[in-house]
Amino acid sequence: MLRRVARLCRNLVDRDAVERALDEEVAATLDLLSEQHREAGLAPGEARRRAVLELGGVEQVKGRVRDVRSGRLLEDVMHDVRYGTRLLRRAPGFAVVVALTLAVGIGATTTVFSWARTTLLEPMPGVARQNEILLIAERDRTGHLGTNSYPDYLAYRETTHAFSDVAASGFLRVILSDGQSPERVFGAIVSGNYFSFLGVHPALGRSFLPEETAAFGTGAVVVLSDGLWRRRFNADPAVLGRSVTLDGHPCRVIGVAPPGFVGDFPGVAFSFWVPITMQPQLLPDVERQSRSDHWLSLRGRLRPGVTLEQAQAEFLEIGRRIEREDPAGNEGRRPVLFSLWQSPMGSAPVLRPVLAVLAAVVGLVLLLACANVANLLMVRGLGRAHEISLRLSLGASRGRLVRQFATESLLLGLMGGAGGLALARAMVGTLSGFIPPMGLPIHVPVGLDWSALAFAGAITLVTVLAIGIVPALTGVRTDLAGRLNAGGFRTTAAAGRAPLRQGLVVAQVALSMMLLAGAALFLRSVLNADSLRPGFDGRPVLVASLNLPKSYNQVSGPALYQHLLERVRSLPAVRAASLAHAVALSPFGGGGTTLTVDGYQPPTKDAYGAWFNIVSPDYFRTLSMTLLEGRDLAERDTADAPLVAIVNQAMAERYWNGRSAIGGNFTPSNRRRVLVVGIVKNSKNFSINEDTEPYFYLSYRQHFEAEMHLHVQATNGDPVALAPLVRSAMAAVDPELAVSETAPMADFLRFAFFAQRVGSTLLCLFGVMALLLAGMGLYGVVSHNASRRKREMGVRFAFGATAADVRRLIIVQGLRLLVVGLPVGVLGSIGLGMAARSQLYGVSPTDPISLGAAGLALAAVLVVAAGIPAWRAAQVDPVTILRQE
Amino acid sequence: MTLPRNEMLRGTLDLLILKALSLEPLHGVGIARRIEQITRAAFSVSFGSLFPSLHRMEERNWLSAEWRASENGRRAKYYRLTARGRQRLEAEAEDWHRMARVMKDALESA
Repeated sequence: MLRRVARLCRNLVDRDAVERALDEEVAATLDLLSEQHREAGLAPGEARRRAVLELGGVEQVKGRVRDVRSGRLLEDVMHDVRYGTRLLRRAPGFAVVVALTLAVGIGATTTVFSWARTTLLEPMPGVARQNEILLIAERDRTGHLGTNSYPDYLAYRETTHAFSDVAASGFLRVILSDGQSPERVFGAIVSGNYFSFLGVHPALGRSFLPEETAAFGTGAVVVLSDGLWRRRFNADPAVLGRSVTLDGHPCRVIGVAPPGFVGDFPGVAFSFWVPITMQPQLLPDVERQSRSDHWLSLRGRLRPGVTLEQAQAEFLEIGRRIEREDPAGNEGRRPVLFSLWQSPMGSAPVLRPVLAVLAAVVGLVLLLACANVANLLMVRGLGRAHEISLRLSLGASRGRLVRQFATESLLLGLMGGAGGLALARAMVGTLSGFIPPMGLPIHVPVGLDWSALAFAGAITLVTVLAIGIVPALTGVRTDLAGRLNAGGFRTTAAAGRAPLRQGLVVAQVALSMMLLAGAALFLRSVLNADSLRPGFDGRPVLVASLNLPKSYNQVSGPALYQHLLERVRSLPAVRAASLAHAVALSPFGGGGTTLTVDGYQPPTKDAYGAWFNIVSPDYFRTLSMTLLEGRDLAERDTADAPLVAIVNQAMAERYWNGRSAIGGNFTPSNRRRVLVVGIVKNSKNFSINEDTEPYFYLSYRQHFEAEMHLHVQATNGDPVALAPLVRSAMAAVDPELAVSETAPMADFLRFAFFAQRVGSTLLCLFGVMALLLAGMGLYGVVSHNASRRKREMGVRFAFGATAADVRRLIIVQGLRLLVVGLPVGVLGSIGLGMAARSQLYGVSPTDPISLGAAGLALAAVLVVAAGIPAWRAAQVDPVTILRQE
Repeated sequence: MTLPRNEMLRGTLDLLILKALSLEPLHGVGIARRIEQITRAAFSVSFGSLFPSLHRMEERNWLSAEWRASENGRRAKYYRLTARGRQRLEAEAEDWHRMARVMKDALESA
């Protein structure tokens, strides 16, 4: 074996020496033979001739010896690679265009599928076997999805057989300090099994010990995220054992999470984790023993072989049992399980529709790229018919030729693949660029999905290989003499016969039309965002997020708010200022509640509900909302005064149908009865496409919340300039408020248009690429046809045709393909638009402007693509052409 | 036994080469002559088949080769059997004998 390897190496590396030895051996044999003939009495010349005859040809013998040498195949491949590289270098334009086309197709597909994988399928970086993890949520009788209570967590964890374990985590927003510069950070309060459940091992130190998570009120320890550790503690390993304060409570740092791990909330990056036993200190308002306080998100890890459906069935059973045992807490509540990618929470619902559209689009781009490359390869193959015939007649074998062409295709494919990898690497990080700052540590995990790259690469490779070797195969079948005699000229009859290639161009036209029309539809949706009438005007408004330190209570909190509002309102650049718990058209556009309305009988036994916000006076004026009836909230609506509310039109119409809602009373669940004092016009609260739902506003003095958003309307319409002024006003009221984030309200609106923005940007990009590809495809076909019809054109000129006649002839032939492809593309676009309808705003899938613009752009590019070769064909000198015959 | 014609010939040629070399090292022409001699001219070896066979067997380490002066003083490449080549010769010769016996019996059976 070793000897054979050594021999192989020698044959390959020391080829010249091996060849010299063979030359010598054959020469020596020849000498020996001719000498024997001379000794037999022949004349020297004749003896030599006989010897050559007997040997059977010097080169033939050498050739047959080379054929049996080991490494022969490798040698051939290397030869093919060299030959192929030389050919491609001689046609750099062709090589670059093919490689770029493949790169675009492979790169785009890999990028989008990488996004889908990392945001939907594996949205928790660093967490082991995420496909086993399910989210456990709870649906109340109104259909509203929510988190879970602590008793439910315990019950699930103890009873379940479907899951090997269940972990709980709650969102925490605290002021972190270690003696200097306090800072607001986001983290999670988690069950003791959290890290082992996720399969995450701290990079430094350890995770929680059982005794640290045994009793509530103990376990003042914290695990830091890698990001926080690097940013705030300069990656100092000595941080272990140090004490930091969270909301004033000292906690000992026991570990640092591995780089990349940011927690179990897809889309959000946490900075720290504390054990659930810290709840009394960090979440003192939580009623831990109550089934009505839903502060925990639960995740379960499926046992091997258990399906989501089986787990769901088990949880429904557990849920029913809990409801029987404790009807007060859990009546009408049902546990619901979701796989990570189907999660209704986190980044999945935002990204899912966008990625679905994009996946369809990049699929089209990949098809288009393959079609284009197929076309280019076929044109090139036809041009090489002469070469193939020549090589066949010189004795090249069919297999040898196929191998040669396959090597060339492979080279192109590899170049395209390398380009695609580079493109995907560059693009994969751009997704986070589309996400506006949200006052939340939004985190989109990005990483290349190698399986997507392999898949896209394989598809294009199969295409180039399949198409690439066609000329070698067809060349084998046609008769050689005819080919060689034709001398590269073809008759006119043959020029029209390329149904596959023409079909490809038609397909390209149709696909480009779909991409362009899709881009136009999304672009119009985004443009409509500017003219969006959500029922309020957020453009001149600055939003600052407030989170009062825990030292404030029901009395001191509202007092501080009032103080802050007075201060901000006195700023010269401020027209109006107010506070609201929820920000309209943000992911937190309001809370949901069930309610009972005095004098209203629900049509069915189902409870009924509404969404709500907690606001200060002047909120409607700050957002330019219209108060239709009654009065605004006022500072006199204090905790001691009668509880009041303002409802929207939809709520007034649903629950006080026909009568005035003013003076009516209703009772939100878990709250006291309120009196309706005003009605405002409907506005959008959660998404731009939502149906208007009942919504009401409560007074911030009567319902204290430590988290509020300060809304400030600028007199000159420029909210950004207000930010420093508002910040200093906040710092003057309480220095701890300085850690709040500020952002123009437009940023929140932009978030509402996230899908459309990503869609329109990428579709425009892909659409332009598609347009170029289709143009190149048509150009290739038309110019090839034109060059084949040169002789015919010469004859036409000779018979008196003008240049214009010839141009028209060629253009018309090319544009026939456009005429066939366009209607197919229009139908496809409408189909695509229908599928993406939920992502379109203010524009229908059959929008004539979008379709028309896309069609016009496509037609313009294609006329140019067909026009250039036609113009060239008309430049032909008939005498030269005819003389070549 | 329906071996393709050239396949059977190649196997035969290899065996004959090994046999020809079993007495003493020979160069290519010498091997050709020796084969003609021992087969009583039933086989006339073409160099187009001989050389590839020699090179293949050399790569397989059945033969080794060295350059030395031939009978008339010219340099020639002499092939000799290696130990492996000798084993191979014995094994193949044994196969052939058995096959020949079997074929003979089969053809002579009533």
